[in-house]
Amino acid sequence: MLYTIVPPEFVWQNSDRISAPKELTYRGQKVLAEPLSRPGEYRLVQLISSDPALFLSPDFQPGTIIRFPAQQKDS
Amino acid sequence: MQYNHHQPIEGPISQEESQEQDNSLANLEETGQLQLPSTTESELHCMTIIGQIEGHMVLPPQNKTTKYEHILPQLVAIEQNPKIHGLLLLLNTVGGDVEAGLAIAEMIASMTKPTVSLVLGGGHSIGGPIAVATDYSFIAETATMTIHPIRLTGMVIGVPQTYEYLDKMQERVVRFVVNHSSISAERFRELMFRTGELARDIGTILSGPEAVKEGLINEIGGIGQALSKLRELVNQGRKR
Repeated sequence: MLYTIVPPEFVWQNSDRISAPKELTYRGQKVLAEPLSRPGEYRLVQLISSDPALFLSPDFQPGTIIRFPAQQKDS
Repeated sequence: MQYNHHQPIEGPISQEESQEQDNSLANLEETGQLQLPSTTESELHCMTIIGQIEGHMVLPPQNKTTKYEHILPQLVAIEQNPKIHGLLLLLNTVGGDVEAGLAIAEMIASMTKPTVSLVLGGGHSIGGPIAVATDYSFIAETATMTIHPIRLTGMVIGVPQTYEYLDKMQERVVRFVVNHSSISAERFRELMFRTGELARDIGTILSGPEAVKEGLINEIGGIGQALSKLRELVNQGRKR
């Protein structure tokens, strides 16, 4: 339930553009990331870990672009 | 290879460097947080609550969001890391998910390390409980806080049940704010249901000085005051 000053019609426009993220292993950690247009390139959505310290690491901030080497791009 | 950042880069930017740049821009876009390169670990950490606080539902891409599933473990890390002594919370939020907002607010309120908040621009709707959750709160002179009732949009099945549900949700917000600031429940509800102030809604917009006068926020201030207050609280804790 949203409690915000922004009208719901502004918040929810483009709802069809929400993409489902993929589960990947990045630097040994399980992450959710959405594929970008370039192959092997993803935008990190969420880190799945029980180690709270990792959530402060710059490597795992939501929005970070992660790239996989060419040989892994189809995995 | 080492880069010398004080000299202009000659030739094409290396891939590594351009990725570094991409990442910092991407972080800024997504969470409003930019990782600054630093040589020493900071003993005071800073967290920004910006845009919409995203909760149970992923919001469409035009919304700038604060992702609570990332904020919560960060708060755990800050609480348990012995090198971190205090937390500064910067707020410029239009509100968002009630339960995600209350979750962040409860986490901050229950931390044992000193916490100070600073409302810049706006701390609206569910931003209110988060702003008051810290040990001490500041608001910029020009910042505003909107207090208004929680509304339900979309399908309404049973009117009496819906009303009761909304009322309970609202009570959670009112109770939290009253317990963590010096405003009374009666006064907070009065501001929440005031008519004639907002064009599209009932409620009240409080300017910085008004928020302080109502007892919602402790003091008018900026980054200087907020940081020195946080240092003061950290030093008090050390003496104890």
